[in-house]
Amino acid sequence: MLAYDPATNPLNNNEWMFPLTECIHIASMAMCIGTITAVDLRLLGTGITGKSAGDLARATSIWTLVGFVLVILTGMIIFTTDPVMYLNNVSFQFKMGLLLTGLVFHYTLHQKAVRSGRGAAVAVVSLVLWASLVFSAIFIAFV
Amino acid sequence: MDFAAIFHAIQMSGWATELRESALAYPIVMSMHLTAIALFGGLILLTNLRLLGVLLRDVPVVNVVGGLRPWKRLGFVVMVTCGLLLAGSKAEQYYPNPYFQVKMLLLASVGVHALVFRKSVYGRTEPSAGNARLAACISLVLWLGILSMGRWIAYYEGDRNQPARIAEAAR
Repeated sequence: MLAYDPATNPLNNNEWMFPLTECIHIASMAMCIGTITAVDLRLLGTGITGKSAGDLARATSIWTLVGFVLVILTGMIIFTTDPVMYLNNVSFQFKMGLLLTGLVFHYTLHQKAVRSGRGAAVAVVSLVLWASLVFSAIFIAFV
Repeated sequence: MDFAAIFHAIQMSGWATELRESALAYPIVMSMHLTAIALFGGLILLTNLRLLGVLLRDVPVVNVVGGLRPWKRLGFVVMVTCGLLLAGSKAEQYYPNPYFQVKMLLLASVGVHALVFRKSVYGRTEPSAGNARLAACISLVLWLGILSMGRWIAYYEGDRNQPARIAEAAR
């Protein structure tokens, strides 16, 4: 980062590249969090009840994963436009903590609960966790 | 009274001023708007993927559409309510913004889309693959358009003579 000047970043020198990256960031966020929401609703006994939580997760997991990859990739690109600001932003730091927690939770405890088909508490934790991540993202611009 | 004066009155109303000037309420409403997009916008996407036949093909369309409907409705209400609060609190900046105008037009088109495909897709147990695909494609285009226009609202620099014209209209 020592030799890196964000002013040379193409995203800071083009009218539409930054907002376009943000749009992909938001759409892929909706894809990963939305597919997880459908599984969490099923764990809570509602939503798509024609399939078990495990089968639903199996059918949607690839979309969740693609969403995760895209949202993290575009997030990293957005990060490069002003790295020092982000690193020093308390809401960004909180967001990264939540992201790490969320990813670990999703592929361990959450996955286990989904496979067993029982875990209303896990579903609630999952929904609260991902909603908190969105809040911490918005607050980056306000802290 | 023309539009400029109406939007000026909205922006100057008590709740709009309080929301705009609040260090906490404004970002909270914005976060709720985005959370609704994440949780329930994702369900719209999932429904469309089913209508396109790319996932959950062994679950009848009616189970996916019907099962998620109450949640998508709840999400839609939260999303639109928060969105209107945000736009209303800065009504004078929003209404002349072409991206905001296109966004509202697309949002109205979502309503038309729901009415048009109600009989042939959304109200059926198993709609024809062609109709389902058409409805899903249009829905995806509309929602991605709404999302993009929403983001671009923030980047519109506006017309330099706007404040003067608004002031004149409000007089």
